[in-house]
Amino acid sequence: MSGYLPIALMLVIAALIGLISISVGFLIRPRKPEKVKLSVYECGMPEFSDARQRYNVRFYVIAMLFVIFDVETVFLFPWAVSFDVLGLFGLIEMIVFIIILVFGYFYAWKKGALEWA
Amino acid sequence: MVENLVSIMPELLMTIFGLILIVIDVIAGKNSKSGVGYFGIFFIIVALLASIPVGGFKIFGFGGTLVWDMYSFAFFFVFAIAYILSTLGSVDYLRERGILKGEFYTIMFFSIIGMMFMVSATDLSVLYAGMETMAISMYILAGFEKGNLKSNESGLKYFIIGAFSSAIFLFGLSYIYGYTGSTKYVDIANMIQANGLNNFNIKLGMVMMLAGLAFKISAVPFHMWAPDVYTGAPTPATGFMTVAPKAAAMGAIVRFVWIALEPAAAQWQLFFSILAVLTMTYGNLVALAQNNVKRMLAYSAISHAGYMLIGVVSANELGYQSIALYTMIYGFMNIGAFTIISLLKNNGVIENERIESFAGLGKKYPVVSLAMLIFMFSLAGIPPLAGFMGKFYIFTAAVKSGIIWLAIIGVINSVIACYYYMRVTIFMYFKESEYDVDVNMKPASFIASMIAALFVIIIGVFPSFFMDLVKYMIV
Amino acid sequence: MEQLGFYILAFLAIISSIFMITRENPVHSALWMLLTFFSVAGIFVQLNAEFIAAIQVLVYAGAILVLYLFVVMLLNPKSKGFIRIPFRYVLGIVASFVIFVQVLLTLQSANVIGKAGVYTQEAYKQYGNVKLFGYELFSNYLVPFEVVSIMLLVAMIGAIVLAKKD
Repeated sequence: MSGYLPIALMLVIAALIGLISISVGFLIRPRKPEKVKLSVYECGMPEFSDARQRYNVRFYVIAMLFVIFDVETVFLFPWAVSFDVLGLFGLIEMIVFIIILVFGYFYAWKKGALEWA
Repeated sequence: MVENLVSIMPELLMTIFGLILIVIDVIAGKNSKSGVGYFGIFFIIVALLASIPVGGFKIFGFGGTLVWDMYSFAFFFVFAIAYILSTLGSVDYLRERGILKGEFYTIMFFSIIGMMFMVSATDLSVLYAGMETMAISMYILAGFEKGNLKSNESGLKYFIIGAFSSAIFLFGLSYIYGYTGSTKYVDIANMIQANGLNNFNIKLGMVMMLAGLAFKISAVPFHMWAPDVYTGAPTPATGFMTVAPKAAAMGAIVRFVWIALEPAAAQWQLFFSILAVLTMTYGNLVALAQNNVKRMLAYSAISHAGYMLIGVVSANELGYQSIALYTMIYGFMNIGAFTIISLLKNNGVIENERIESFAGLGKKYPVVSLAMLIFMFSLAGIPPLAGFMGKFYIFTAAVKSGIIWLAIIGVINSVIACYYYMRVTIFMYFKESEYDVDVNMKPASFIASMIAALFVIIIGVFPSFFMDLVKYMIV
Repeated sequence: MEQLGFYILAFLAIISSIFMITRENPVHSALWMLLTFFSVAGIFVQLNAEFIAAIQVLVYAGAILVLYLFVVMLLNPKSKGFIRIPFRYVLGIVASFVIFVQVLLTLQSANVIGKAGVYTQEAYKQYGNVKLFGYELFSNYLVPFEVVSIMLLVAMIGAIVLAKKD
């Protein structure tokens, strides 16, 4: 349990750095608002549309594939840790698991789900 | 080791075939996607033949988490029937709508693997994993017609409510695991045997778990998703969805209550008899008011779940055998009826599935109308057709275990149900047609509906052969 | 000390989930949910369930939340067409009260009638949570693990067939 103390400390420090930098900036920065300063800009160009638009559904496919392969990786993790106990049988299990998902990968590839165009 | 492999062999075979099906789908050209379905039929028949167990065969595998026996095989048979008929019936429908894709058949195939795991599970974790595989496939099938808003709604609604019901199931499962220390059916039964059911938490867990399963069979009051989902989904998918997942959930419920809840029989019998009465009555009463035949059959699917639940409540061998027989018969008649509905094309202004589309069909298309008549009569339970025999065995089982009142309610309900099934036949034979209706008859769907009609008659006329088969299967 | 850690994390989880359901902007809700996930992961760590905590961070905070954000962005962010459920506050309060009472009753009658688990504190100290979890998953719960791969395959095919343009 005590092994997590540094992590907790790190989280606290990280939060503090953010808070301190914002509040110090808030306290010491000069405040002279004017119209040009307050306007929205992107890289110096005048904005031409709202950023809050509907995204393409392709992002969703990518995210979904990411979730699925993420879950697969999560299963690999305890397998790798306990591999010395499981031995050959464990290897076969994992190969079966991965083969089934490789077929899904093959399908996604061939159907062009990984291509953007 | 060998035992393990034998116990999982059918599922393993199906998985290998399913993976081959994916490859076939990728290779197949754009116009030959129906081949994926036909290959699927071939594969499922091969798997079925390869996994026939001999009588009294029962083999446990993987430390008692999985079993392959006659009972699992009987349900595999039902799933295979559902797959074969819906595949044959779907090709023309999907082609006409421009959604003939290989994925329809691949996903249906994989859903059957999930259902097989559900029925052959003797461990709650296997049951849950199989159930989710089945459920996810069903969400996709429901929303398969992307361009149709109703299909989208159906898929989304099914997904949200299905996920909710899975969460309830899982919550109950965690209670049961927490209070018995095991997910194996046998251990749960031993714990209940030793400690009784006088624990608030285990009762709560049981109720939540059984409610989660009741969602899957669309038992009232857990039915609210069913009408919209069944109406919105592509018609062949509806045929499949009303039969196979229901059969799988029934098989899983029977196996679960038979082994795990055996010491607590009185409690769950009460629970299921209430569900059965509500389900039958509600489904039939609401179906009376429907003018859309697809929606009417959706409500009738709810009420048929109620009849099947009578078999669960009667809790004797005849009850379990008759559930298997009933799901098989129901598969033939319901998928047959949905196939015919999917063929109708109304050139007028109303929806294809409205009851007015059936008006005057008897003269214009005598063969199709005759098949529809057979399905409707069978669903209503009119002798000598298969539906009657299914109901007969279920009510006999209820009488045998002394629950006569439930059998009487069942009989009253099937009398009520006659009205709305007869209405379709009256429209077909005694009304003049108001709209120009075409029946888009192509060989595949014609074969599907004829096979279904033939079996409905054969099972009805020679019920003892099929009952013996099921009896032989389920000892 | 550990008690204090639990109280802090639980408080954080409750506060952030309240913020999550009350924000009008769905992106803000998602970010508050991230905080909830992290605090729950912290609670899992305190319960010696490190693997679950890792999953919580990797899958939920990492992948699922990204998916949520994409779904939010797929919808039209300017639409005000939210369905206002009548009596939603009353319904919400009743539902959460029921669950609260359920948890309370569960805790009150906390007598496990089942057999005790094999993995004691000592075993945990010796091997660690992840290793024990892996051993259980790949020996006793092998079948559900393999079924999960089929489930993921179906989900993948379904996502592609439903979301891909053809």
